[in-house]
Amino acid sequence: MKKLLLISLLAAGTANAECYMRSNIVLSQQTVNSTAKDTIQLVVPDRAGFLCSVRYRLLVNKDWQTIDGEATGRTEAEACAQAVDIGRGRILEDVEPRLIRADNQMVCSDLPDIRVRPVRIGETIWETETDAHLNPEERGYFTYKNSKCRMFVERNNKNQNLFVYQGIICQITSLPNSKWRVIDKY
Amino acid sequence: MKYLVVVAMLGLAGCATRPAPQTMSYEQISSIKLNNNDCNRINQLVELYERQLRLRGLTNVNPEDLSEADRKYNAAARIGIWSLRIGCGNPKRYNHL
Repeated sequence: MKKLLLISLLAAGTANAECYMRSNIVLSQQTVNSTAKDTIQLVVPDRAGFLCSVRYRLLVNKDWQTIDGEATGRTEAEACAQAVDIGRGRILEDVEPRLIRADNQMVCSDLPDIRVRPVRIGETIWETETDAHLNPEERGYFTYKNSKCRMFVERNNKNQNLFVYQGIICQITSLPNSKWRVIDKY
Repeated sequence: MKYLVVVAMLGLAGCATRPAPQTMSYEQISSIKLNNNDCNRINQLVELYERQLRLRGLTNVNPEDLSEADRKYNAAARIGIWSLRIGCGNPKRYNHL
């Protein structure tokens, strides 16, 4: 990505927006292979009706990427649907086959930033805080005790040694944007 | 691991009728092979793994907190447990096996 992304000039919220640098390295032939996950949206009134800032996560090849989008609409639903489309358009543009590209992007947003991080058993997390499994055959969802679950891997550096753990997370409720719980890790 | 299934060793085939060994070594527990037929006795097998974990004090543990030996043992047992739970509860998941 290349542009400076300034989310919302709108009023109060923006004044305190958190900013950070996001680094991207894009390899060739990447494919988007998931639907939007862990969607977070912020809606404020706008002259056109509503302005929706949306942030969500997409699995690109085997890594989660954060996508930001913003759009206006007559209703909240319309604005947010369009914001998701805009965000998806940006990632699709980014993953066109090219050789290799790296860039930094300044992102300012009031929306929480979800990143892959070490998790512990019992913790409540966003799904995309854990990496997809290294083995593509193990990436699919499965059912355990009537819950939607999946395996994850976690790479962890300790004393200059790389540990790779795997584990199980399950969705807490069946609602679309429900959080997940770490059931096991080993 | 990968997948549900595969062999049964260490007298596991007879675990329903013979008392299981009191404690199993890492080599023993990691060499247990499971296959689709083991879904018929999933509860016994999961109990066997969980009993071994209990005997070593490895219940409700995070791997970061364990010694290398315990981490390997914990992983071997839990791979077996989850192979059974995932494979037996989702029969089409590993249907290429």
